[in-house]
Amino acid sequence: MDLLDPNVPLDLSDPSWKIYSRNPGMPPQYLSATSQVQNSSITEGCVIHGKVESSVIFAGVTIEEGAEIVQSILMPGAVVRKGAKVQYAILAENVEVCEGAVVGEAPEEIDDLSRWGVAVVASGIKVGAGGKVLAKGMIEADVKDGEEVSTHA
Amino acid sequence: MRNYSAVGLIFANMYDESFRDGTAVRSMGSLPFGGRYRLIDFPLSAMVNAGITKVGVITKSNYQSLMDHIGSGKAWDLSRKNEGLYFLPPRSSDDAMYQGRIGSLMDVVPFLNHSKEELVVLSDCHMVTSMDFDAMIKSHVESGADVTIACRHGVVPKLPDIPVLTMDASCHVTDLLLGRIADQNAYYGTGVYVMRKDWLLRILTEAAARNLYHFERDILQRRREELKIRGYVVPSLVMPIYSTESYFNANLALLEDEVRSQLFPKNRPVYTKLKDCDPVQYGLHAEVTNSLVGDGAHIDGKVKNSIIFRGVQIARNVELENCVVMQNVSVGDHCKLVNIIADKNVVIRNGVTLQGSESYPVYIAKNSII
Repeated sequence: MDLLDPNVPLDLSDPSWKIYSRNPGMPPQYLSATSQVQNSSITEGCVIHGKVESSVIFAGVTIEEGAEIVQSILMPGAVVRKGAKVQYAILAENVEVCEGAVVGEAPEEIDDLSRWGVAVVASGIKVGAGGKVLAKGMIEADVKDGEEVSTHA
Repeated sequence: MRNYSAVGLIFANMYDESFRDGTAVRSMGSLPFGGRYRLIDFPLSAMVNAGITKVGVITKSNYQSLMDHIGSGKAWDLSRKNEGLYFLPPRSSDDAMYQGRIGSLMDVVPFLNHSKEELVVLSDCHMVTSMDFDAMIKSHVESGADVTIACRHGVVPKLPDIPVLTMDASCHVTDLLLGRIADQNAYYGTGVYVMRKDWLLRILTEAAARNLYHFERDILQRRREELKIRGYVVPSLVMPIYSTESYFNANLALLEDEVRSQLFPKNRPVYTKLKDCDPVQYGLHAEVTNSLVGDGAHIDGKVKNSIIFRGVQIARNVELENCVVMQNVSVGDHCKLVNIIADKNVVIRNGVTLQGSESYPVYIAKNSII
């Protein structure tokens, strides 16, 4: 997330110091007419119809209309469906967050800040429609539709 | 397993003169397209996806950026010890440039003689498509035709000598006209041909001996009754590029989901030179809608209905609408650009307003400073 901060001196675009990596070779990202993207870093192959704020989005991610991504990291292949919300969370590869689900919580929404932390969803997991993952949740199994899951350390 | 073997030949300079804005400094094949590609990526990827492992790229002029882009062919898995990519710049003098397709092919006869493949697939670069070459080749083989021409039905693009086909019910070409018959809907050639290599070599030897250099006119049209010429109707999207306006429209068409899904099918990806770019950085004031954005761009302004290439810098308080902005362009504070095509490295200083019209977009030449 420091990569989004202009005051952090790491310049990824310095042409004299290229960072080499495996390139997935996907078409350029597409931001639709309904998208709202601010203060974020997004790479190739993404299709964005929703809102993305202060987040880092990897390759080939799909964000449907009405979905909101705030202060999160979405790894390659993640899909966030209509009306879902992902905030202060890390989604690993190919995670699917179904319609209306909520992953993570903003610190402002929580009274007891000791309960707050970044939510993490493991690779390939599906968070069912209307499901909810609370702050600090470490999810390693599919979340059923409408299920609320939290893990406490 | 495929039951045929084919070698590919791509003509990188064909129809250069139709879009002089873009090809003043480069071949048609090098023309940047779609936020990240160059036109040659499409026929080259399509050939590779059809299992063709030997491709010759025929160039006549302005081929430096093309050589840089293609390199050894690695991005297309054509950097090989056996077969692979062959760069075929002109062998003879400048005269060859004006001697049509047959003149170009005469230059590469040694390449064809050394190839053990039975079929040759020829492709130009001016029609953007991800057509299935395998399907076309199979159809050619099954039909027993001498030569198969890929075609599309629609408004014939305004290109000199573009083949316009009349076909019977079994797709046998009964007549072939060259050049656009104003605003008619017809089957027009998309610059892709499949034929047997030995047939082509015979044609070339004879043609040179008779001073015939125009493939479509002197061979196909003139001999349409004795030859078995077949039309293959391309079932997927083809976008012809033959003018500034058509180039502009073809790029902006990529904003439609359907166009992107036809041009970038999952099972036949379009490969291009890999550039190790940093991701797109959207600033706090960015408002980007309905746009395609290439990696390495830094955007802090308003961008609407546009195609933004790699490394483009867009400052705050900028309004971009209906623009095609190529690599490394920088747009300064408070600029407003509508219906503009900006070539590579253009610098637009603070406060500039530039507006073209949809049917007459303004083309800013490479490296310009405004």
